[in-house]
Amino acid sequence: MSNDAYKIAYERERKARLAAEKMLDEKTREVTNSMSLVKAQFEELMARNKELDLLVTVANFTQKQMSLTEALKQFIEILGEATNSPYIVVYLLKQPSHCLKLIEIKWPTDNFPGELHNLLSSADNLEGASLAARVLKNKKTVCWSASDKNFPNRSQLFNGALIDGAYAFPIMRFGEVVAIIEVGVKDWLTFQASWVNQVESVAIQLGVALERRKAQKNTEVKVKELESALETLQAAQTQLIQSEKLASLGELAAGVAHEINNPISFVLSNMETLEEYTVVFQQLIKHYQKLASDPVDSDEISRTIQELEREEDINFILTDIEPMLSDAVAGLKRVKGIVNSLKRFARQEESESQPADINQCVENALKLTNNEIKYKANVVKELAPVPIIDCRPNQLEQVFVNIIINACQAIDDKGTIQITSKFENDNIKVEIVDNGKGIDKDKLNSIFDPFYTTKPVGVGTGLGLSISYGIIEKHKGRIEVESSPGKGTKFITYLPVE
Amino acid sequence: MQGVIYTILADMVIDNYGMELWNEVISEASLDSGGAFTAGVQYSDSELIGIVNQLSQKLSVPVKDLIKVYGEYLFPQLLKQLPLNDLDMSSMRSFLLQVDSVIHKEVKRIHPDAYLPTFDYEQNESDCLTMLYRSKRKLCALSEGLLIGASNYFSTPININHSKCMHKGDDHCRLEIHMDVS
Ligand code: HEM
Ligand SMILES: Nc1ncnc2c1ncn2[C@@H]1O[C@H](COP(=O)(O)OP(=O)(O)O)[C@@H](O)[C@H]1O
Ligand SMILES: [Mg+2]
Repeated sequence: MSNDAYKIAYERERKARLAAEKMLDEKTREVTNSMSLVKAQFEELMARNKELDLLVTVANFTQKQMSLTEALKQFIEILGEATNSPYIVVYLLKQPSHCLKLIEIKWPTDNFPGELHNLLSSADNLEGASLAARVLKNKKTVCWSASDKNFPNRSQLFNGALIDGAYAFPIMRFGEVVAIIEVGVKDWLTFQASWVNQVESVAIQLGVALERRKAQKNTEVKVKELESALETLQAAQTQLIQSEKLASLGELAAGVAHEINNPISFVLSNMETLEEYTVVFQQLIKHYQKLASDPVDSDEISRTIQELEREEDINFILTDIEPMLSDAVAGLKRVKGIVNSLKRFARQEESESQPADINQCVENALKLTNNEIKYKANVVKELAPVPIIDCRPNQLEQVFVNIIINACQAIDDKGTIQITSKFENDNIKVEIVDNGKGIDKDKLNSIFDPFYTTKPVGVGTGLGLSISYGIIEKHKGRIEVESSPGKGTKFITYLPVE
Repeated sequence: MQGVIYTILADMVIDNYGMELWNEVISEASLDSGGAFTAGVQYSDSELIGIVNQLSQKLSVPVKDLIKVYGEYLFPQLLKQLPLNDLDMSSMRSFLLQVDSVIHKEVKRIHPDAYLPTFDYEQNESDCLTMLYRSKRKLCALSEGLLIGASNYFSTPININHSKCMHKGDDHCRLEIHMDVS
């Protein structure tokens, strides 16, 4: 092949190479462009991410009850990363002196330049023509550039060497500056203006969080006040329950006295009779002893004995003595029972709830009110077995006593009180129905109000139903009433079974 | 240095002095790359120095002058690589003002591992532009050549006063470019 042929071939190859290089170059450009795009998007995302971090700090501040100083510390930590600033400092406005105090410095190395520290924390800086002082005055973000002649001290210090400028952001609460964050700008050329807006919006968020915190503090104080008021109220209520109990006791006292009187008097008369019988037995025993020791006069002694036995009707005595004793025992047992239930009823409430049978509470209430009812009403009782529940039986007894007494007092002459209990839909349901005078529709809403009573002074306190309502409520149950005037009233209590 | 700088140099030598000379230069410079240059690849600066030194000996032309000639040849070739639509090509002055902040910046963007010189500008009179060249490579001669290439391209005669030079111990080269814009 001739030299020329090589040359032609070389030229052809060179053309091909140039074309390939051009193509390569174009492709490289394309790839670089899309890489730049991706990078820009990535950076945008990272910026968003940082903004998010900042917002999370704000959220933590509110949710985790972080202190403001703590929150600001975290805040500038993230801010420093996000902005790549040469320094960040935080001032807090001290009250009541109303002066700024440098509380936090973020600097990439351990030794924060002394001159800068002096400048930032000098009194002049805080009150005079400093960045922070200007933010305090204008309540707006302030931007300073090293070429700015307004801050001669600063410009002299930096002279563009350390930093190119700085931004100072206010953190406001209810329109007042509470803290200032100053962020240094290393280089205006590489500075990303977008973060100024981000920091500003996060600073606003922090302010809002501060306001919310303040509001929350106020609410907390209110809640504390309310809580102590509630405590006082609860104490008063316990007192009320006790006084209403005592009032019911007064109500019951007359009846109870009667109730006790009855057995006591027949026990007493039985005892008197037994005393007489004892005299007879003593005489007879003497004669029998004589008879045993003196066989000579036995006939005569036997006769005297027979005479005495006939005279005193010993056969009757022997049959009478047994039931008389058991009657006396029964009577005394009843007295003991009544006294016990009164004692239990009068006792202050039990501190702990305990497992109890509601039917037993109803029975006890009936026992207590027995005398009240006796002359007023027939009691029709249908108590189906119900589950044992954790409750304060003493209090529930008080509820039933009150409802039963109310029922009696609603009956003018002679009526019926029907008491049913059953287990239904996970509830123990106790119904107490009377056929007394009933309650007017427009009064139905008032009967549970404290001190609402239609009864004369000395009879009603107006507290019974209000307290009963409270007791049932405490047991997580409810109490309902149905009434038709002239016909009667039905009280239903529901107590939940866990 | 970028592969293009070498491929264009090869083209220039082959076109002006023939394939034989280029082959000799390549073999005598004993290059790591073996002289098989590809645009887009980064080559050690020593390869360029080796080639230029060989050429200078073979052609008995001082290295400086050789580089200058090469710069002139290089300019239109480099320009071909640029998407000119994005540039202000209305005058030589406005073009030169874009070398540092636009053209070389774009080179750096596409080839992040490339090393590029920096230029600072001084503009006092309307017919004069001063470019302050700084580079570890001290290739001010290439700059001069490129400027002449630009002068040819814009048909703007120039006169360069190289008053300060890194080869004379200054920290930068001062290229005062007087342009005949008439
Ligand atoms: C008159 C205008 C220009 C001047 C004075 C100039 C100057 C220079 C100089 C002196 C160098 C050598 C590297 C150094 O000194 O460190 C260089 C490298 C370079 N220049 Fe320019 N240039 C000009 C225009 C252009 C244009 C139009 C392009 C088009 C793309 C360009 C692309 C490059 C490239 C790719 C390199 C090689 C970088 C490397 O990989 O080392 N230059 N330029
Ligand atoms: N079974 C009932 N029948 C009619 N009225 C009733 C009945 N139970 C309660 N009341 C009415 O509700 C009022 C409030 O009852 P309560 O709170 O127990 O207080 P008190 O019994 O001391 O009056 C009673 O005064 C009465 O007017
Ligand atoms: Mg009552």
